[in-house]
Amino acid sequence: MSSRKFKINSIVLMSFLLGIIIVVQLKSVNGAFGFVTVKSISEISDQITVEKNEIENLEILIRQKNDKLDIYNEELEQNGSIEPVLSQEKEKAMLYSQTLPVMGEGVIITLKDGERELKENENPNNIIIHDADVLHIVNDLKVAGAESIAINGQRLSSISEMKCSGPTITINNKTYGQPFEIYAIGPSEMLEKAITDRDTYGYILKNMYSLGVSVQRKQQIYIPAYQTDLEFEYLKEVK
Amino acid sequence: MLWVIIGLALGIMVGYYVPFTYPDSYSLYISVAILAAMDSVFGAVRASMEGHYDNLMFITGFFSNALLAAFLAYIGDRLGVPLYYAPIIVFGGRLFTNFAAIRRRLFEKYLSRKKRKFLKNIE
Repeated sequence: MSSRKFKINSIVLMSFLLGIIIVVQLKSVNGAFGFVTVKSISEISDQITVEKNEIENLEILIRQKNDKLDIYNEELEQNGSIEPVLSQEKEKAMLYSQTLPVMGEGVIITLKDGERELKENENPNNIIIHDADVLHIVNDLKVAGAESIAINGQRLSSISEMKCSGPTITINNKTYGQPFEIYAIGPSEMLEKAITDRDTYGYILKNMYSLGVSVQRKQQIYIPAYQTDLEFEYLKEVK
Repeated sequence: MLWVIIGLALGIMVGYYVPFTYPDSYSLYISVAILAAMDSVFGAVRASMEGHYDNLMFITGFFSNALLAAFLAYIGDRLGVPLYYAPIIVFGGRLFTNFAAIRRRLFEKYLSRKKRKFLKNIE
């Protein structure tokens, strides 16, 4: 009889323990329970670092904005108005949006159609400067550190287009025939190398297709302002 | 069977009031251990019904199965291999076979009692 009692006691005790563990588990897991693999752990930690970086950047932004606010307040106390600061900022914004003429060290690149005779059955397109060529060269210049670019006097803004229109190219809605003169302000040595170095796009145009590609380095280049009036139809300010 | 339910109810009541939780990262191990413990209890019920219940086997099996299952899950996590499938499959499968055996026992008891009553009535 006593051994039977002992058996019952141990079964009750064990199921008692089991009940405790189950409830504690239920309380700890809180409903949402997912298997965590090593991969997902590393992904989540990556995400956390990204978010932390984002937070850091936002904090830097807050500091900058606070500094600006301080400048405004100071100006307001000293001069009674913040107009001079605002006009300075407006100049800066115009400079950024390419609506001010600028000057500086840079290069002038001239692109001309080739003047050689066509080989037999050769496609005449091979010796013509296309919009894609100009686009590629402009991108090479940007990669090399160009700060401002104009083509045949048309300042390239962030939404300037380069459209093929037969033997001519339309830039900022104005059409130009060859030769195309690309003015670029930036580190002139780098810009020159970006066009003339071996295996660059300009080098290939000049030496494989015999197109007229020439580069001049200048101490002072004048680039006019972006003149087209922009009218936005789809764009709205975010407040 | 009745004792198991009483023990479980007591445990759930006490566990509800125990102010103890652990980090989420351990929950996988504990859940596998719970599965092993449940299998042990079911096995004990079945064994006592079939009349070959051994107390020592039950208690040692209860703890060692739970520990081994949790340990396997932990090692699997360290090695990057989902080893916790092993306890889940083994204990989960056995849980169902044990449950089926218990069910058959209960039915047999019930049916034989009915049969006896029926025979008595005829007499």
